[in-house]
Amino acid sequence: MSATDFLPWMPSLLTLLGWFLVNHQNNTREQRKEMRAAADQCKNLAREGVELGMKYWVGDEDTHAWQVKAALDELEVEICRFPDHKGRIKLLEHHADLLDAITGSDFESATRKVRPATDPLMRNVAKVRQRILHEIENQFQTHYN
Amino acid sequence: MTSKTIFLATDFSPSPAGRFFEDGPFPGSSFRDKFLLPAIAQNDKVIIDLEDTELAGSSFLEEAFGGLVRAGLTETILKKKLELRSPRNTDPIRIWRYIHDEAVRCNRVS
Repeated sequence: MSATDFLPWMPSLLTLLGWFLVNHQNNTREQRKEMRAAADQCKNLAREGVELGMKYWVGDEDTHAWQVKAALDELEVEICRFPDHKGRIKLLEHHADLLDAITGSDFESATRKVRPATDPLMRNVAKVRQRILHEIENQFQTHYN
Repeated sequence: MTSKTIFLATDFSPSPAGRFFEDGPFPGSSFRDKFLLPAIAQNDKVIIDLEDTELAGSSFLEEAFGGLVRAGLTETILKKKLELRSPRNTDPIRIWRYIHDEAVRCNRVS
């Protein structure tokens, strides 16, 4: 067989290769869009959970423990849209930190102290919030950008 | 080898919350004293299934599981005897963290 025997097949082969490349690019773009949406949703839920948590700790009468837990629970569901090897494990550790910070101490206690905004617990919540928001963006940038 | 499975939602409560009795009807101390400690004492393996429970606050989990170390058990024994099952990925991460932190604090790692 000589090289000229392949010539009649070249246009079809190039078309197939082109289709493969375009398809791959489209899939990558679509996945990136999906994960951008997931990352943004994670950040929104983290912000919402922290806001509710802080309201709970400052003694807001309209904010209940179940609302705080529901928002934080939803955050975990959204974090799990990140695949295992593309950020999920790291993000879950940060989520565990956030849960500790917000639902630890005397959370759901009958003798819960109302905290001022300057309380160490509130500062810790703010610090952990910042860390998880950074990590969400960091994982997105590392794996999908 | 004896084994026991505790279903938190059905055996105890689907809405566990708080640390102590004054915090509510289903606190961490009650789960530890009525379920965890007897099961660990009588069995080689204790499986805790957290399926169908609301997200447990860290106050509940720390009192129930970190409290096992305060009750005299070591982290090594607990690693050997306890098995955790949960639809939430963060539950085992948090529970083992509380056990480890308390073991370090009480000097009961092994």
